[in-house]
Amino acid sequence: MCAMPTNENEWPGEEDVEPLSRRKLFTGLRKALLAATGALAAGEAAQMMAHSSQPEPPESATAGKPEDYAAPSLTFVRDVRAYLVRDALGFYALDAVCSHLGCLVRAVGDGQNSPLLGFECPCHNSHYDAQGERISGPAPRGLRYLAVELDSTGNLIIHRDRETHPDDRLIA
Amino acid sequence: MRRVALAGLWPLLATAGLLLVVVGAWLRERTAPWRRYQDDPQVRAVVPSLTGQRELCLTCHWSIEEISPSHPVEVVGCVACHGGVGIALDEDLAHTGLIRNPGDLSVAAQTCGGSACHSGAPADHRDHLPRVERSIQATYAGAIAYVLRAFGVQPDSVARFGIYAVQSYEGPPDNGGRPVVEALAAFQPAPDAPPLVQQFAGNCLTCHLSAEAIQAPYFYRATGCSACHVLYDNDGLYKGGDPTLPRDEPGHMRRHELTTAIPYTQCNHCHNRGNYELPTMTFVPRADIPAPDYLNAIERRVHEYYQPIGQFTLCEWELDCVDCHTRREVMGDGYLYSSQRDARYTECRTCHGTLDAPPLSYTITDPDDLALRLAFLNPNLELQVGDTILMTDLGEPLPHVVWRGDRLELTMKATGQRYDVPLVLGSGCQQRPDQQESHYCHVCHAYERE
Amino acid sequence: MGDSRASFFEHLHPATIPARSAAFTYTFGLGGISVLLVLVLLVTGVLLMFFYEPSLARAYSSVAAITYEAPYGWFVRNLHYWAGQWLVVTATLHMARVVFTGGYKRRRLNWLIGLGLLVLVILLDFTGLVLRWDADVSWALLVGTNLLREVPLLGETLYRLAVGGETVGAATPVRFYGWHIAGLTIALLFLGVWHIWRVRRDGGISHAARTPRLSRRALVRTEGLATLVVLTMLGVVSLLWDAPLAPPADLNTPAAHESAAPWFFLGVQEALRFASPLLAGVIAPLLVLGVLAALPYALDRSAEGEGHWFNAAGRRAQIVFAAALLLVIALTVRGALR
Repeated sequence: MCAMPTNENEWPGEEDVEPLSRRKLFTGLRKALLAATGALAAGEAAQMMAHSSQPEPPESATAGKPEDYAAPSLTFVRDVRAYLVRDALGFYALDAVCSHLGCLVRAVGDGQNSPLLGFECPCHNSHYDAQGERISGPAPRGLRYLAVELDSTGNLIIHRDRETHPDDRLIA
Repeated sequence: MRRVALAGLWPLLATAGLLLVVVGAWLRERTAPWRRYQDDPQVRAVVPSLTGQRELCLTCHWSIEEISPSHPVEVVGCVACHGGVGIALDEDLAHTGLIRNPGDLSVAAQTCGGSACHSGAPADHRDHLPRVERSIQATYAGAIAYVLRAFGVQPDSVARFGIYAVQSYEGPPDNGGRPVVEALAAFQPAPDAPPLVQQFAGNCLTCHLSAEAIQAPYFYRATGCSACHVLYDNDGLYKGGDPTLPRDEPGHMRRHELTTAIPYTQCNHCHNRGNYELPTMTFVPRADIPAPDYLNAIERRVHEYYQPIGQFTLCEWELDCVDCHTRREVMGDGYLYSSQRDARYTECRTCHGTLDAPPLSYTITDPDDLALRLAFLNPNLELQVGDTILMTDLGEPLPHVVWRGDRLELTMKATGQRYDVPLVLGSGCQQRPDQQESHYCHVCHAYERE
Repeated sequence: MGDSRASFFEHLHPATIPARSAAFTYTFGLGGISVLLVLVLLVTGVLLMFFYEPSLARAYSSVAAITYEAPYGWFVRNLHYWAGQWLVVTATLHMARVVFTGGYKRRRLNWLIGLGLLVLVILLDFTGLVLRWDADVSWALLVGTNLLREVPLLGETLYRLAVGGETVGAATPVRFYGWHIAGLTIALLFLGVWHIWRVRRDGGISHAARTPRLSRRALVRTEGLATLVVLTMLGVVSLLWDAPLAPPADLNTPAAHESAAPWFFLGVQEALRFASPLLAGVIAPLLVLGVLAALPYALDRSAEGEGHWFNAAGRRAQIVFAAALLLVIALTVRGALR
């Protein structure tokens, strides 16, 4: 019903007198304008759809006082999706997001009652060692080391947005 | 023939029209009114932790100064105090229900008030609002009572009326036996009251916390809590960072900031601005301000501070009003008084002591001591547990007057400037202990304004 | 294009149609414009659905987010709003055209379908209005829904169907949302397609018996032009005048000003001043609908005059319809002038 007329046909008997070039010009111009309108409108609609006002997930989270953690121990910190590990040297944090397709990896052993043997991904069976190095499976890389700091009130803070060296430890 | 020649023209024009609409939408999107306030326009949202409700106010007011360190925008936001529709970016809708001055006493209960905020328990010193509502600056009871007595409407100057009806409440601490009244009725002169009382009601109820300021230099101020705690310059111009506020339109606060460091200029927006002429019951503004140019800074100060023909000691014009007049005096102590004389807490001896004794003092031992809270609120004061500070007869702390060894040091609340307070004890002062009102001191320590 | 193969869309029309039917000054394109507006409403409605959240906490704030935060959200919302308002007008005018040209003759079923469409359009506008959840929808929410309770026997059930509980509350926004985007919309599409199909079945747009015929392309051209013009007008209005948005609704606080019905219910609101809710809010509107429904059955059963403006055979039907329309318009204007 409301489709654009796709054929530029004539009123009955018009074809003999219509100046062809002007009609073609009008038609061509109209189609160009219509295409521009459509493209612009589609772009505007796409911009609207791309909008999001949902809050970004937190880039960092506090994880309590250092003395809350036994040495050695392993704790999953939900807010930043990371494992906070305390070993003989100090604290470090491993990103729990698998480097393959983003599932959360599971720890094998808890580091306290049973030795931490490494991490495994439940989705595609990637394996990492206790230091987060890749052992096997489709994962292209090891797990990321996330920065751990103490804030002014003495709480541990894990930063998702800052990567550190595997040898770094927070001495508490 | 003509119709045939134009056969394709109308669709072409209609298509062009539609294209213009789409381009128009793009233009309107790019020129939304809020964009003009930012160099890099973006929607700036805050979710204050107190309310958890998203607010977009800072999209336009993005560089406004934070109201105070105790009310950070991430915690309190804007809407909790100023109302309005915080998620709208349309000027009219966003400002529907806007509270321009949250400190006004008509709205303070819902803005400043609340049991965890400024209408809490007297024991926690959180009863600011109920105190202010009963203070003589808010009720204007003293002036009303005085006028009613002067014109024979009432036999004495005990207050019976206030700007609004108000009753005493349970809980204010001991006031040392100062005379109080139980309740005030709203002042509304009877039809048969003397004409001058009628005129007083019509012309002169302009000098209390709920009265709008006279819109003229030196008079600009806010109402309610903000009358004192939001500073206005004498020119009434805004000098802060909010891009939406005009810089050349008088009648605005100096900056969007609350403070307890209140200079004398703020008090002078009401006090010492002129006189009520009793024969006609009209307000006559002072003609001698601004001070003449040939005066130096301190002379200017005393000139603009006080009206002519008054005697003042050095501290009465070197310091600011708030350096002597305590919070219980100025904001009220919870009781209804008939005059400022009854509500007075501070005398010369409060700081200077008497011939027999140094001023009253105590040593702070409790980390929650009120004095520490007061000092925390003032950027010019440093105070810690173990410091010995002065207090009034009723134990109200003066956190800015501290013993430093054998020196008594006063820090001006508004400027941070420090003075050693001279003591009467051991001096050549000839005062009598029962003569503590200032005019006794003025006999020797007077400076008269020209 | 010399190629004369018809596109998919051209198959919506017969190969040739009577010239009179294609003349803009006969139908004023009101049916086609209504269909166009429905398409605009569907497209913009889908865009709005990506952002609207039907809950007490989020209904208003998501409308504000659409209006102020999503790029072009204001424009999409304005288009949706104005298309919805216009649809009530074009559908009513379309009905008037059908009455005054005898278009209902020999097409009684389609007349009833059309009447059903008009009711659905009004209900869609009403439910869409409530979704805004601002201070101005309080009439619609309280008066409009409480009128349902006045319906004898069924009242409480109807109320619960609309509101989702004993009172307006947490279940209500999603109720109105469900009705608006699905319940009523699906019914509208179903009846709408049936309506158009019946037009084809009944021999195209109603017309006098013998007129010259012309190619469907002429009709398509007219429709294309009308489409462009209407879209442009709708766009200009949406650029210049914003869909209303008041402060958020607070159902527990009395409205500061007298709350008004949406304009298409102003007539009912006005009638409620004069008579009991049952009479003015339920019986009277149903009576008007009943009279309209009975028009081709009781007022004009003839077949003569089809396709002729103000044909003599349908005089009685035309007068009754005009009287009903004028009554509604008069009540609406009176309500609007208050």
